Amino acid sequence: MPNTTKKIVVVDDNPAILDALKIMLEEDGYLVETTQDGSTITTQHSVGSLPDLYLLDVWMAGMDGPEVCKYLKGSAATKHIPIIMVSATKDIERISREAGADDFIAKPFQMDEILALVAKYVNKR
Amino acid sequence: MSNNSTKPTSTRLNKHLSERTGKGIKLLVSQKDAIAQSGGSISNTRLEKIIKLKEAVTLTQEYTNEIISELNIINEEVTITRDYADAIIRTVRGPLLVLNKDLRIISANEAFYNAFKVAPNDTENRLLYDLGNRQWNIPKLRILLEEILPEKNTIEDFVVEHDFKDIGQKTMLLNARTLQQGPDKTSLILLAIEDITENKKAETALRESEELYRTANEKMTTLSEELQTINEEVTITRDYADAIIRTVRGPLLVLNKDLRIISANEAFYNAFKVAPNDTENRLLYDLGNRQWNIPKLRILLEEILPEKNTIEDFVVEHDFKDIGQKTMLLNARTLQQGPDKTSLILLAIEDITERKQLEQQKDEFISIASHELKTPITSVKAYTQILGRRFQKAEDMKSVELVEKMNAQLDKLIDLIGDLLDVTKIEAGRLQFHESYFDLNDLVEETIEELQRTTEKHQILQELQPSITVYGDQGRLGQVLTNFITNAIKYSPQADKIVVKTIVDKTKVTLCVQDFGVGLSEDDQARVFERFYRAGGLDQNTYPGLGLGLYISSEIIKRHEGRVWVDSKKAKGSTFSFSLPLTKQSKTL
Repeated sequence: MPNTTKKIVVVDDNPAILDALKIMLEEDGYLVETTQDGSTITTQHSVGSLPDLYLLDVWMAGMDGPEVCKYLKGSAATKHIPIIMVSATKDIERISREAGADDFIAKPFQMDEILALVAKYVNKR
Repeated sequence: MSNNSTKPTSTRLNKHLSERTGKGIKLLVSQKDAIAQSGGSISNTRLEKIIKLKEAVTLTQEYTNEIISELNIINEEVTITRDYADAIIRTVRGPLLVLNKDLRIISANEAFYNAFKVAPNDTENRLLYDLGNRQWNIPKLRILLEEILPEKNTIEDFVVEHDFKDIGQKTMLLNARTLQQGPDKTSLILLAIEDITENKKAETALRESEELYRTANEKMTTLSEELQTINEEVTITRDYADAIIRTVRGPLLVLNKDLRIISANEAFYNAFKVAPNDTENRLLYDLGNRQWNIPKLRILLEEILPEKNTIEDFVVEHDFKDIGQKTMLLNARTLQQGPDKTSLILLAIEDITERKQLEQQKDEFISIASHELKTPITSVKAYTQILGRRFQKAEDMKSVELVEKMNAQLDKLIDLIGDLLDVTKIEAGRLQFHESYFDLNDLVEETIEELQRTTEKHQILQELQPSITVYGDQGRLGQVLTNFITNAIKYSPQADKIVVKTIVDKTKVTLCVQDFGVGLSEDDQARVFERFYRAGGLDQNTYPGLGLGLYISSEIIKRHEGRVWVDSKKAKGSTFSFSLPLTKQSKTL
């Protein structure tokens, strides 16, 4: 059973996808924070509110997914938090590997797949 | 004995004869007179007469003897003359025949026998025409001997050509003469033959030589004229070449072997902002303050071109001070010119800076389009699935079914977008592969499992040999397999199974997808891998699609250096297959 206390931060510059992911994850029992701007999560979150998992889009205006990923994996406070990269690009596997992400999922995704993947990493912790 | 002495001999003989005969007659007359005058005394007279007659007889006998001896001399002379004639016949170097009036050979000389390879036994007394197995039965000779000669008695320089079986083609010059011989005036024919074949040949050769000389002369004249024409043409061609250089829209340089510029066209001056005065006779690398001293260009001209003579599409990028960053496509060609085979280098330059930028823009556009098209679909698909889950919770199964149909249609839309993007990439030569080693059977099993969910009617059966690692783009190869299986499902609506097989041999692995559906005609089989080709023609409404899937599949397999093909029978079904070469690292698991 998903733990209601688990928090997931979703970063995507497309509001519709952000909205759909939020609904999906919330209906599956997660606490979801969303942002369209990757740079905000490198500044705004406090240690106490660190999420259990990040879902990162690859291509974004401003700071893009791999940059955010590298930042998070490079900072002591967040490097243990699993990151799943989400993208429509065919290069998703390589990009996420190079950025140091834990896993990836291609857009368009199947709801079952993304929920299963999220559960896998959240429950590991 | 000379010919001239014959006449004096006969004259002398006649004179001699007439003198002697005259003497004898005179003697007889005088004896007769003496007897007549004696009259009365018969006995004395008779005696005298007898004595005188005896004397006359004696005298006559003497004369007769003299005549006989003269005749003998004459006979000897005749014999001598005949021998002489025979000797002449025998001696003359040219063939000579003596014929009787019936054209039978009385005699022939050695020269005749030698020249015409016939033997005396087969010649004498024979009819001329019968000689040498009737080889002498020559129409023109018959005309000469039977028609012309009887009228004219003497013929000279009559030409007869004839192809003798034994001695080949001969040209003969004939002299013929009829003469009457002996007391019965028997006709004889003398036929002198001159074999002028060699002469004729020589003559022909001479004529031919003359002809040749004349022809050669004419040819010389013609050649000289042609040379002039060629010279003119050379001038025209040079002008033409110059005109081409000046006219072509792309920059063009003509260099000598030392890489000095012989000529450049307007397009070059315009494109690279250099002046003719600063260009001609300069070393290429020195142009525009040594801006042309480009390492890659030096490699092209100094290392590659001397070996290959022709270079095409050689890309050189360079940042020119005056005109900025340029990407150039170079064609270069070495050619030998003139009698001393001076090397020239033609260097055609295409400034593809703009084109390259456009290509980059196009690539970026494809990426952006792909992303932008997929983004709304991703959200729609996400919303659809959220709805589906809500209906499921509410146990509204009819709505769940509708949402699942929406989802399936969205998946088709996603595939179509993917195909269009792939084709665009293939056309641009920018379909990228991410190759690695992977387990083939894993890929096949995963793909089948996924696609089995899309069909209830068909069982997708596996006939897989022990697995093998394959080097390639797993995603793209999965795409090919997916394409084969979805086609198999689509084109076998009445069938209930599809068979997926792998066959591994020493050099390759083959993967086959067999259906038991509508099959393909031979025409369709030949063209089914073409871009935009859709099988069936009239049935196209039955089986919708863009006609891109198999084209993309075949391109993917080709890029893996594999082979793709189809075996099919109309109304029996199709088997689509591809094979991939096994690398050294590929191994059976």
